[in-house]
Amino acid sequence: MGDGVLGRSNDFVNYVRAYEETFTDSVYSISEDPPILIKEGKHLVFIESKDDNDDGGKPLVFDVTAAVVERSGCQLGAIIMYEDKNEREDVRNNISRLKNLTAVGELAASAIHEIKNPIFSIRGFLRLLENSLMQDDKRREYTKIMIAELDRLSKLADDFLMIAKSQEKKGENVFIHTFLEEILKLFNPRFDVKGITCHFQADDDIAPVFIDADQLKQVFINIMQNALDAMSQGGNIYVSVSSKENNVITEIRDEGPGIKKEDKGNVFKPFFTTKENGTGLGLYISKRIISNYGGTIDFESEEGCGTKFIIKLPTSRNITE
Amino acid sequence: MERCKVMVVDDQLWVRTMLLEALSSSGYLTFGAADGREALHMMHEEKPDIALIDMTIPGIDGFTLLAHLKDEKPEVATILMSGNSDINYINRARKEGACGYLVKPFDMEELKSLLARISTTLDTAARGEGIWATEYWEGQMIS
Repeated sequence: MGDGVLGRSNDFVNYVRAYEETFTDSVYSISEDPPILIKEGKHLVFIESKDDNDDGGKPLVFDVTAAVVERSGCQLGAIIMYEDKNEREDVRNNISRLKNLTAVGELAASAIHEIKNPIFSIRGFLRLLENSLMQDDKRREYTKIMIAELDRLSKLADDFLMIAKSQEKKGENVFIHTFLEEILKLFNPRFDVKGITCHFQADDDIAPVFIDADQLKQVFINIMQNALDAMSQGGNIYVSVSSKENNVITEIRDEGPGIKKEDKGNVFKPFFTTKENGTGLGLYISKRIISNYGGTIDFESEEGCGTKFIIKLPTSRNITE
Repeated sequence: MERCKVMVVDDQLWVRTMLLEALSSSGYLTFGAADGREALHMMHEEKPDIALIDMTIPGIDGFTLLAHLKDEKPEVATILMSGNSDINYINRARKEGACGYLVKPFDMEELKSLLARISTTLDTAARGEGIWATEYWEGQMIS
């Protein structure tokens, strides 16, 4: 059925009038909004949405019509099933967009993993080159710079992947205290190198939260890495997990120099960084992830007194209730 | 233990070359394979102590190769490596019996210290003073 047929022509208006004369008020009231038009004998029904928008949205489209006729032959009304063509097209468009997005996302993910291979071989050869040079050779410095830049490239790739991933809202029940303990173990070698002691404390009976474990891992790694980077002189990092009013609260406190007053408003903005080799995406991604799962992430910091990050996530129990 | 022998499985020529070069210059005996089939064939001839396997190799993937190794050569310590740092992958690697999971690009020094720890454990087990536990897990390096 072409759209032209459904245009608001004089014929259409006449049909509506004819309809109004033919059927009883009670039947008409079923569908007085939108108005209905029935072409006699053929059970052909057009329904147009009330929006009087001639060049805008497409009309509603009938699907099935059937006349309701008395034994005497008197037509009482009609049964009409219709659907909103606009909505159907929206759904179709959304599905195809989602399919495209997923395809692009998967492609991007494999591309990003593949980018790591050349970065890795270049990095490895540079390391070999560096080791073959004399200690006082200035070129050693160049190789170090190249390696640091490659690491930044690799981190950028990871960050972009995580941004793409943070669109997904799949998840599972995660017990933050045990999960976090595992993550902290990964940092042990770095704690040793930097002379940092990590103090971990968790309440008993912490309820699980609903989140994607891989994304949560990224949040903790980002914050822990920031804490580590802030503590070049060594010191203590305090990590605690507690529950409060259907929320699980994780606090990570370092003894670094703290966040400058003028930087506080920018901490969660993309590409904001105070690190030489930072991408400025870590906390932006972390906030995005935590917000996606109904939580909040905040910080308290004073110059010279360290920084505390507070992550609050609703328990799964809280979500289902 | 005599010099530890490492099998490097990676389809990327320059990654494989770099790893073989870096390990042999650190005193390891090495050999490389470009895919899973070649690795399966060579591991019987070359008898490695440690296998360093990329996850995405053509034909037989890293997990399948790991399963073959566990089955046919359980004495070989396997380390998986990948550009993918997804925690579900890492947990799967651990469950299926890998000793470690390295996220590319990792530093050669990290790989060498991991290999040193694993070979000490293998050595102790070989001398009958310890057990080469199938669930030995060194975890993953955060890149």
